Amino acid sequence: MPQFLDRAATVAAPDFNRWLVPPAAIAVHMCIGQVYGFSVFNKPLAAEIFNQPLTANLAAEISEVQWAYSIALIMLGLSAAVFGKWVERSGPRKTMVASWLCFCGGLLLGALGVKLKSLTLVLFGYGFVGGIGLGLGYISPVSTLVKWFPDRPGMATGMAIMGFGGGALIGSPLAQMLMDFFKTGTDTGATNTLIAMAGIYSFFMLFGAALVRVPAEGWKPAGWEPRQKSDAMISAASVPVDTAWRTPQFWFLWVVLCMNVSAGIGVLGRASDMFQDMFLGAGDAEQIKANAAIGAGFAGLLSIFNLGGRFVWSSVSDKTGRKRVYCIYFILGAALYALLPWAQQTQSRVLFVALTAVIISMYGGGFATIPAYLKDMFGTYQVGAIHGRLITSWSMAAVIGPLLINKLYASRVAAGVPKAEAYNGTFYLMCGLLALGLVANLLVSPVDAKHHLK
Amino acid sequence: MKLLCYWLLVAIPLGWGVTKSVQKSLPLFRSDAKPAAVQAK
Repeated sequence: MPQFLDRAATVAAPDFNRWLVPPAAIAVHMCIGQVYGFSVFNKPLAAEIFNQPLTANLAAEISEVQWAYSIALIMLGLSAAVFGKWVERSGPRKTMVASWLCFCGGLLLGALGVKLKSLTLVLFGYGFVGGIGLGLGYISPVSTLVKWFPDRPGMATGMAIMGFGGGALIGSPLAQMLMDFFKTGTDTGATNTLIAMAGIYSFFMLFGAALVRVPAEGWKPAGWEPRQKSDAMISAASVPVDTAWRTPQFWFLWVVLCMNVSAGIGVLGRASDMFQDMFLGAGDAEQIKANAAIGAGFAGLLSIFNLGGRFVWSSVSDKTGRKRVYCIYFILGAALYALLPWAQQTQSRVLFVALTAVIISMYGGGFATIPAYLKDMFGTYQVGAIHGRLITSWSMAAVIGPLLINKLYASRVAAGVPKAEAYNGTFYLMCGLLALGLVANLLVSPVDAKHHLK
Repeated sequence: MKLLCYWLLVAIPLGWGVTKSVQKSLPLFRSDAKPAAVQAK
C-alpha cells in the first residue's frame, strides 16, 4: 500500500492519456471547494452547539461558529506554504490521500464536535485539521497539471481551479439537501449531514488520488517543442522554491494576487446586501423577503461568472501571455469599478449586473492564472511549493479585502451618506487596489539566470 | 470510453451545482421588483 502512494508508482506509462488527469484534479478541488459553502452550516451548528432553537436570534453564536471557516482558510494558506516542498517530493497521490484524510477527517471531527456540543472540537476538526487538507488538496493537482500541459498551462490550471469554484456551488445546496433529509423535530440534521458529506467527498477524493499520474522524466506532448528564447517571460529553466521566494518576482506576484483577490472580494463578500441597498428599497416584511431572494440571486449569478472566469481567462492567458492578461484584469477591472457608481445613479440594474459579472470573472481568472504565471517565471521543478507560498497572499487578501470594504462602508453610512450611495467610495478604493496590482505586474521581469537550477 | 466516464463523473456534480446556482439567480430577473428610488416615493 505505501508503495502505491509513492511518487514512483504514479509515473505514467508512455501510452497514458494526459486528459485523464484533469478529472482527477477537478474531483479533489470540487470537494475541498466545499469550504466556500460553509455558511449554510452557520445557523444549524450554532443552534446545536449552544442548545438553542433554530428560530432564536443566533447572531452571537453564529459569529463563534464562523471561526471554523476563518481557521480553515488560514490553515489553507499556511499548510500550502509549509508543506509545499513535501508535496513536490511525495507526489500527487500521497498528497491527495493526506488531503482526503485531513479534509474528510475534519468533517467527521466536526460532526463529533456537534454531537458532543463542543465548539472547540468543531473549530479544531473542521477548521484546523480540515484546513490542512484544503492546502494540500489545493496545490498538488495544480502542480501536476502544469507538468502535464506545458503547452497550455493556463487552461490546465484553470480547469482545476474552476473545480474549486464549483465546489462551493455544490457544497452549499448539497448540505442543505442533506440537512432537510436528516432533520427531525429535535435535530437540525447537521451531524449526519457532515458524516454523509465526508462519505461522498471520500469517494471523489480517492477517485482523484487513484487516477492521478505524473509524467515520466523528460516527457513532453507529442509534436510540442519548448520555446527557446522566443519569449523572455517564459523561462525554460527552473528555480527552487527556497531561492524563488527570495526573488523580487515572487513578491511582485504576491502583490498581484493579493490585490486581485482583495478587489474581487469587495463585491463578492457583500454582493447580496450591496444589490439590495443600491437597487431595492425597503418595504414590508414580504418585500424584504423578496429583496433577500433577489440579492441572493445576484450572489448566485456572480458565483457562476466566478467559476466560468477561472477557465476562460486562464485559457486566454495561454494566447496573450500571463503579464498581458493580468494587465487586462487590472485596467479593465478598475475601469469597470469606476463605472459602478454611474450604474447606481442611473438605477440601471442590467448595467450593474453586467459590470460586476465581468469584474468577478476576472477575480476568478486571477486565481486560475497565477500557477501558470509562476510556471513561466520559475519553471515546473517546484512550482507547487512556490504556489503554496504565494497562496499566503490569498489569506492576507481574505482578511484585508472585507475589512477595508466594511470599514469604509460603515464610515460613509455613519457620515450620513444614503446606503444606496455608500458603496461608491468602496468602488473607488477597489480601483486603487487594482492600480497597485497593475504596478506590481508591470514590475515583473524575467528571473535572473543566477537563480536558475544548475 | 473510460475517458468519457471519468469526465462525466466530475461534470455531473459540477453541472448540478451550476444548475442550482442558476435557479438561485432567477429572482434577479423578475421584473416586478421596483427600484429603490421609486419605492422611496
